[in-house]
Amino acid sequence: MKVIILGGFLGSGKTSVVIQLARHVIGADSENRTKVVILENEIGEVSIDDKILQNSGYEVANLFSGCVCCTMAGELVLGLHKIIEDFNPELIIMEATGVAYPENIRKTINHSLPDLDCSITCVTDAKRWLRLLRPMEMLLEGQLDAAEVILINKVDLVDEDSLSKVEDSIRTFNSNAQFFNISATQRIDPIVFEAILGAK
Amino acid sequence: MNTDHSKHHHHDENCSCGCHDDHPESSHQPEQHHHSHHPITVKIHDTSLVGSYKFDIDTSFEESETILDGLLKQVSQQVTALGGIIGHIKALLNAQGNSCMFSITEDESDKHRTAGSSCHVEGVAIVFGILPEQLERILNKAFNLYLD
Ligand SMILES: Nc1nc2c(ncn2[C@@H]2O[C@H](COP(=O)(O)OP(=O)(O)OP(=O)(O)O)[C@@H](O)[C@H]2O)c(=O)[nH]1
Ligand SMILES: [Mg+2]
Repeated sequence: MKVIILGGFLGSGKTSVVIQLARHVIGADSENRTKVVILENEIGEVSIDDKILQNSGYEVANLFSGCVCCTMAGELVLGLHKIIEDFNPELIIMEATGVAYPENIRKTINHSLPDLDCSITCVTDAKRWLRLLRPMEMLLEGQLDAAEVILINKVDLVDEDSLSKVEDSIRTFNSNAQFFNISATQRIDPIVFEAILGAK
Repeated sequence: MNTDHSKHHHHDENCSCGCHDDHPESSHQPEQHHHSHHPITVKIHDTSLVGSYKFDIDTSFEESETILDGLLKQVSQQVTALGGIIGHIKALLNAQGNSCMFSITEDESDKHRTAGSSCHVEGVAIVFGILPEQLERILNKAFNLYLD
């Protein structure tokens, strides 16, 4: 069973990517719906993304009111056990909170559920990257550095010049990942999903 | 409108809400990890402030949409004006009471629609660089009209 941890700063487009990734894996056949379970972690006392995803027709489990990368590691393990027991899906897509360090989540999973094959994809916001970089550097760096795939999202909102500055800046934090430029509100090229799914 | 329950509810281990019942690890459903009875709460998480809010707007979905848009923009402007950074401010607006009555006496169905006159809002405002009291004040001020 594969787990994809989708990390990235608040509002970078994680949920928008999840919707398309799940659709890509499930395909048109609704019989396949439970091939994919989405695990949402939200930090507020109300959850929003899980409702959006449920309304899109996906199987969603939820851990909210805290961040599983630090305070709720126990809940994460219980949540994963329950998903495996209830659905035994091919793929679990775990959307981290926008303030999580995905590598911490992977460590928790590797430690408690060593059979799961876990990779990290990080979504970044091309429009806000340079503005957020200085005040948020620690967090942004920590979110990027263990990612196997990095999606530079919202490229529809920046010109070519800014985009190449953003790209150069992001690559200084992680030069080993596979990079893709996307617009998650438009159709994402299936090549991107194959890279996310194939990442080791 | 919010009920008194959510605004004035005092919350301790004698509370009958069930949140404080012992829940052994094995039966602890993640979905039940839910702990707020106040319309607005602000919590600190690392360097971020996490404001959560729930309230009702007693008007149609269309009007509520316009009102909520204005309220959330007000929140974001005030956070920025204090030198704060917006992480993500997001909310879900739900119409309550939209209904359609169907009636068939011959072959054709007769439908009577009723538009709901109340909408429920649930949302978060995750920000950086201001004080928790400041975020609380901003949220309270913005949503004040809808909290009683
Ligand atoms: N223009 C544009 N907007 C986008 C794109 N991707 C996402 N958005 C918008 O950005 C906002 C945030 O997107 P989400 O998918 O909710 O981001 P998120 O990372 O899941 O947010 P959190 O879970 O709160 O951290 C939404 O309004 C999206 O519609 C994009 O490629 N282009
Ligand atoms: Mg999201």
